[in-house]
Amino acid sequence: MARFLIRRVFQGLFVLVLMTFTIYAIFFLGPGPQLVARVLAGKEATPAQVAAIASHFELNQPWYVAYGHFLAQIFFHGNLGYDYYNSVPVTTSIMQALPITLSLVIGAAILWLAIGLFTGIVSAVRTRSFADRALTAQALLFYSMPTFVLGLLFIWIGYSVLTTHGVAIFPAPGSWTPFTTNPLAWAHDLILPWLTIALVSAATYTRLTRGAMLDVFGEDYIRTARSKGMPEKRVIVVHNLRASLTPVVTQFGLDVGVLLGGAIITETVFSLPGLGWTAIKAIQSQDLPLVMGITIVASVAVVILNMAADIMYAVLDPRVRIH
Amino acid sequence: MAETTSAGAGGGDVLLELRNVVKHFPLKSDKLFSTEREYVHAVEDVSLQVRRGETLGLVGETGCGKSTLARCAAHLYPVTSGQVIFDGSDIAKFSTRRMRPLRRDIQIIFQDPYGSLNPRRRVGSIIGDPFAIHRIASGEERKRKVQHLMELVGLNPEHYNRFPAEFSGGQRQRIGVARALAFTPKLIICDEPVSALDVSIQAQILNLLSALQSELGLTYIFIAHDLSVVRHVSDRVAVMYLGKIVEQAPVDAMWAHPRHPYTDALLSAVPLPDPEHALQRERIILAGDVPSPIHVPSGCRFHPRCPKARPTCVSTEPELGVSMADSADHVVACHFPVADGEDISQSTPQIAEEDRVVESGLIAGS
Amino acid sequence: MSFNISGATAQVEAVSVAEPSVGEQQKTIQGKSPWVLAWRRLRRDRASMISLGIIIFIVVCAIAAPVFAAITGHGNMTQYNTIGRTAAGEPVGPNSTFWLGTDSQGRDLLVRIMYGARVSLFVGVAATAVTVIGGTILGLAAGFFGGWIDSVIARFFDWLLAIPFLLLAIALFSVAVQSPIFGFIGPGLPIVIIVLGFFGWASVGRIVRGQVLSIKEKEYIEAARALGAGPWRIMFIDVLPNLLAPLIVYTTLLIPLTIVGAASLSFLGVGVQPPTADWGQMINDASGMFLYGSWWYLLFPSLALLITTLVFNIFGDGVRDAFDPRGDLYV
Repeated sequence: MARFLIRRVFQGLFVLVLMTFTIYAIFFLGPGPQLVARVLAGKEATPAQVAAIASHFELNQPWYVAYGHFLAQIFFHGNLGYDYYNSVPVTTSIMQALPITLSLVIGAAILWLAIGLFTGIVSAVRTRSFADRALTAQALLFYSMPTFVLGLLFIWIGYSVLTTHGVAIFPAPGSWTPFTTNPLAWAHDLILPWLTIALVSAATYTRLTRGAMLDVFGEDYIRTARSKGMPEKRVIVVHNLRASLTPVVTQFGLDVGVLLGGAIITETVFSLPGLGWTAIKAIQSQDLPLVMGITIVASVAVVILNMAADIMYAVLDPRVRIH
Repeated sequence: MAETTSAGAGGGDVLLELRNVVKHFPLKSDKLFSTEREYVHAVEDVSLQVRRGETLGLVGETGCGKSTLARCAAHLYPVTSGQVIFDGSDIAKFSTRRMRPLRRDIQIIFQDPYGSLNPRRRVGSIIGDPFAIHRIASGEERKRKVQHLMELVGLNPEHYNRFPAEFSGGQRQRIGVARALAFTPKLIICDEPVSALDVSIQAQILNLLSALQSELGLTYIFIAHDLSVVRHVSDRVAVMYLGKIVEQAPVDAMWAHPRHPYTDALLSAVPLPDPEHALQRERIILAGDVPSPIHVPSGCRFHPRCPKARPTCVSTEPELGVSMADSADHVVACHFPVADGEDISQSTPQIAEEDRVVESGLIAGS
Repeated sequence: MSFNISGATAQVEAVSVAEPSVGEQQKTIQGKSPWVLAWRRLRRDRASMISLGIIIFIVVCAIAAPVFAAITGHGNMTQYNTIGRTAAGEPVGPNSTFWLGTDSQGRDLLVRIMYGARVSLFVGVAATAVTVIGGTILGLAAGFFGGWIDSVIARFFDWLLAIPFLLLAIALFSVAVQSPIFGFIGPGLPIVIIVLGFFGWASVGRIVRGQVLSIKEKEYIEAARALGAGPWRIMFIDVLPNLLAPLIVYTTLLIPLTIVGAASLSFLGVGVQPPTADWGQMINDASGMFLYGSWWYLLFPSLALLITTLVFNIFGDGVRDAFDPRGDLYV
């Protein structure tokens, strides 16, 4: 197990290095050497600002020196650059936006796992019943629905139509109450965004869980458990579910990136000022340091979460550690 | 080892000779920093001769290395050391390119009728593969040759365009035989060709192989773990245990005078048709399972399970040699071979308990 | 006893196994290839056939878009500022002139949706092609040759999978807008196709690699080697045909994902640029104004996108079930 852990961590670090280099390559090598500083400074920049950027990122040095400097700045100094457009350090902008994204993402993930697993289990246990068919059809529908379409539909029907008819259940898009101020309002503001992400992603998990559980039901050890007189509920939860969870965990590890994408879109649709929304606005205003900062933070988070998912998978399924 | 003689049925000169063939598979180590490599000792210093026209039976339990040995002989695995002398040349050293023309002379029939044929290809294409690969015939001519082969093995040539899934297990084995026969190879290695078939079909395939042997003058190495089948087809038999040959003899001699305790135990397990006879016989029951080929026992590899084990067996590895009053081509590797009439089910091992029964490790290669 | 007696049970597959004896007659001499069998199974699946019909209809609409524009007289880009807009400058709802209404610029929505189908289908197919071809080559190389090639490719896949796709697409786009990457990759359709296609290499590659590895272990590959076949022949004649079925299944399932991906990029403003008609972009435009009345501008492109994706998914599921009724492939 130790060997596996060490190997996995090294792998993660390697990917992290590759990733930071990719980001570096896009922003610093893509535009071509003369334009880099200009591009980073943005359209409105004065020549003085451009020069300041050039020296800050050590752009006069060979690329590997600049890259090393770049890494050092991020990881040792926590300095993600300066947002010239808004005149604040990038880190500040990110820290402002982070709680929103985190609330959205964590809540959505919990919801999606819950919905996906629950519907998958019900489908698997009552195969071919009306419930199964309905849930499978619903999964297919949501799986095919682009996140932004669902979000807009929610706003239209859940907010606009209902509110104009006097049933104001859901808040206007853009409402945000921090958790610390008022947890209930916080959740209330986030229900529609959560559902938007969760329903689309849950669909995959519904199908996955259903498939995995049906496979396990066919296994001999389930038959043995039943013949021993074990109550069906226990068979499902203790034996089947545990075995069926591994593909779900694997999939979730792969889906961390998807979660992030979903967050970006949902924030944009609901005008929630999280990291995704901020990044999109930054692009529109050509504020590249901010885009870069957000990209770095998000990428690092994804790599770490992937690693965690892999390790959890190894904990669940000991066979993985052996090879 | 006996020199080339004209003894034995088939009575030809030596077609294939294996000299001191060793095949080790390195294992990926589980430890973080490993200084020593571990190996699966699949084949350990095996020397064999196969004479032209005969059928050499190769017997042993799963994991004893017989399939590995076969693949080494056919140049599918590179040998770790030793020589494989086919028709006079040592092919162990051959490069892939040099080996290519020889591929027409050495062929294999595989065990699994479902796995040895590509499910996405038509049968005619599969059987015609050798012609395509060696660019011997093409188009209509190839089709004719393929259909001739199909008739030879008892298949309907009109099924040329069918897919393997449309045939039964026995028929698929026939397809495998047809494929192997394309160039009338000098040597065919049959790797458990009937083990996966129902008993009645087994008989059909065995008869087919036998008929082809007389008709085309083929030489077989016949690998199996079922002794009654081996007895039926072989002229000479070699018994393998944990990578080594423990006994080798003409088939009748082996059945009449098994010398190695392992052979004796194997033979005692073969069901006898006569119930009275069967009841009278004492079964020799071997303790434990086959040890792991990664950590082989010292001395004689069989000593942990042998009813006749003595301290010598733990310390010294026995060599293959003639024992008792046997003829020159009956050899055994045992310090205390079984005499005629000796009943080893009554014997007790005389070695320390910790050397006795080895805990079963993972059996590699199965 | 500690070893087998004869008669190990053979694995019987639930496939169409023929008669046990050799000489029995069959109606056809031609073998039932796996493709024919799969197609027959697919034909019996009503949902898939209906979906296929709708797909064909969408393709026809896309191809015939200019024809339709000519018939109605409303161009794709033509802005009707008088009849296409209300007095307040808002879009006009569905009426006899504009069957689905107009958009924010007074353009015929139905015509634009048909033109949008062109973009979506083209991007879907093109990007999927890039993904499948690239991924297959990499997966084949990794699985077949092994060794250091495999290691390098596996690391490449790890990296690719770890990248948050949308974020990087955004990053790439933000740079490309200012100054084309490598001097020529500017914002717009090509970059969308490349980015979408490229990011899929890892998933396809891994699946292909896994398949190749399991095929490599099969005895018929060993048989081919024993016959003297070289590695290239084995790869094309023995390995590849067995890969085609999972690949086809994966491709049909990938197309809707690509379409949604492209639409999402356009929605965020980092994909196809205006004035090209694109569903995601139209929805983006509509999202600013539908709350104030122009519901059709949101609804119809959304429906178009949703229905397209849905039918491709249903058809893809059907294809998968046709090739793999027992669920072995687990794609």
